Amino acid sequence: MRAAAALVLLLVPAAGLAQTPRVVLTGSLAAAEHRVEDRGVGGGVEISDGTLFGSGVRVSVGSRGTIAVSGRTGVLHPQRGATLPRDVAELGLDGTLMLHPWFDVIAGVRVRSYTTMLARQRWTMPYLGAAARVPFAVQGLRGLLDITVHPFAGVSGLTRPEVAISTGAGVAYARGRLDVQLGYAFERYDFARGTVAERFEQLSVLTLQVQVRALERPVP
Amino acid sequence: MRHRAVAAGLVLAACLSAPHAVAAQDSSAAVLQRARSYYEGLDLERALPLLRQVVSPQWPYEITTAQRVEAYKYLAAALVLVGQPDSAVSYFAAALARDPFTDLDPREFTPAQRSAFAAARPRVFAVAARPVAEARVDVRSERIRFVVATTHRAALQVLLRPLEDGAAAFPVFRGENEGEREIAWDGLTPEGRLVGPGRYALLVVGRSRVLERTDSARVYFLVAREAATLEDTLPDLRRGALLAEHAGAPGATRELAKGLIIAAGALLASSAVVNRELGGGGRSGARVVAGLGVLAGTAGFLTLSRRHDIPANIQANLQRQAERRAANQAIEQRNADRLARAVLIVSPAAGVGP
Repeated sequence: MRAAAALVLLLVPAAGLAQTPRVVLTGSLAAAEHRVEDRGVGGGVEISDGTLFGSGVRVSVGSRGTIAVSGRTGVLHPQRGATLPRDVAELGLDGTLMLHPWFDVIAGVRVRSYTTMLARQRWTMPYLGAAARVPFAVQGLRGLLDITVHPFAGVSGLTRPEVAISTGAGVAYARGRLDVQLGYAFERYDFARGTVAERFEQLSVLTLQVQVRALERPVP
Repeated sequence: MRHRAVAAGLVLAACLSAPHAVAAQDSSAAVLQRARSYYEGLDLERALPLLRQVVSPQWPYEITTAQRVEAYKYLAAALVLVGQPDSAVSYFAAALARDPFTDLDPREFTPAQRSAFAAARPRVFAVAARPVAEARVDVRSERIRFVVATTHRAALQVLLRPLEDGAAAFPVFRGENEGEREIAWDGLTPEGRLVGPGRYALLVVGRSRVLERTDSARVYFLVAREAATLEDTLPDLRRGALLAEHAGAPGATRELAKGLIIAAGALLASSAVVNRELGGGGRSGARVVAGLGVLAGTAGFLTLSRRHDIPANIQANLQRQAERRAANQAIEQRNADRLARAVLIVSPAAGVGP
């Protein structure tokens, strides 16, 4: 957490911090599917899915940076192989720095918890990645691509994952103060590969997100 | 044997008669020449018999109208000199009847002869037109000239009748006339149009004011237009010669590529990154986003493919078309100038018209 904040402060120019911030409020609805297989336990693949609700706020920093705080929560209901519902809660602090009009460096940290009636597992995932915006000729329409790595992800009760990567793609449309995005994100974590305690997890999320620009002139 | 002798005789007779016509002409001309020599030498006793022989119906040789007129004229002139004015007037009248252009040169004939000639004029009425002389006439500055004559005062009408297309005759002169008259024609029809090429008849109709008689004459002639070499106008500028005035914006296909990139990103995220040990997962969401990406790319493609004007090309095309129009107008003007020159070629026509 501290590392991510420090990274954002490093990336955001000091002059930008002095400018009037633009504020964007976000709300999201996501369909998530979680898969996990703990070969140390030997229960096979557990699948659960559910709906996540989220909200957040993003503030511009200077002309090229943003800082966002977001959270989401929901319940993943057990499907094949799973027995208990999992409550999901996540908080994120995200920073972006626009290097080109179409390319951002992104960094941040996510804190997520999976809670069942038996236990709670907490994830802390600093990340670093890149995001691209692909503008289309239709005004306000753009495509989104991103990829991030989580080299310092930590999960309570588990060793650090050897593979921790997330990718995403989406399409967004902005009109006036509104910005609607439909994005697909996929996270993959491999723990202790090749050992008896081998554990695989992945989370795929289809998110419909609505953003409202609160303190800026509307896009015509 | 006898038949052969007859055939040989016929061939010989034919060979001997072939030059006879030429010899006859020569004979009439030679006799006239001799008669004129006697006349000019005032050897009238010798001139008169010769001239009487020539105009006699028994004259055995071919004689042209001009030779006959000349014979009458000199016979009459000789008779004046020998004191037979009444006979002289009759022969002058005979000359005038055959050729109303007949006249006496004051440097060659005496006043008494001219007086007898003048007395002959009212006694006979005839009209005539000279054959149309071959000429190249620019009707803007020149005229086509016809020469007609009446033996004495008459109401004269000179008409031109196109012999093709059944066109109506139109007058080129109408009025009183006595003697020879030159008529200038501007080459235009009564409607003011340049006369068309073709065969024409010059009709001369006269009504004597003395004898209450009418006479007519006609000559034929051909009218042709001097062929003007015209320039062809340039063809209209076709599609290949003009710049494209409308086009889609560049990058339309790039929009499709962008859409495919987004779609590929979504599908890769759900396939390449996925852990096979977990049996995939969440692909339907990826497909939704992939489809949306393709739709976005298509929308971008259609937006940019929409036709739009290219002002620079439109301006260039307008200029090219204006230049082409100006060039064609100049050509048309030059052609009109050439046609307006309206040079007519007039020539006498052989034979008689319909």
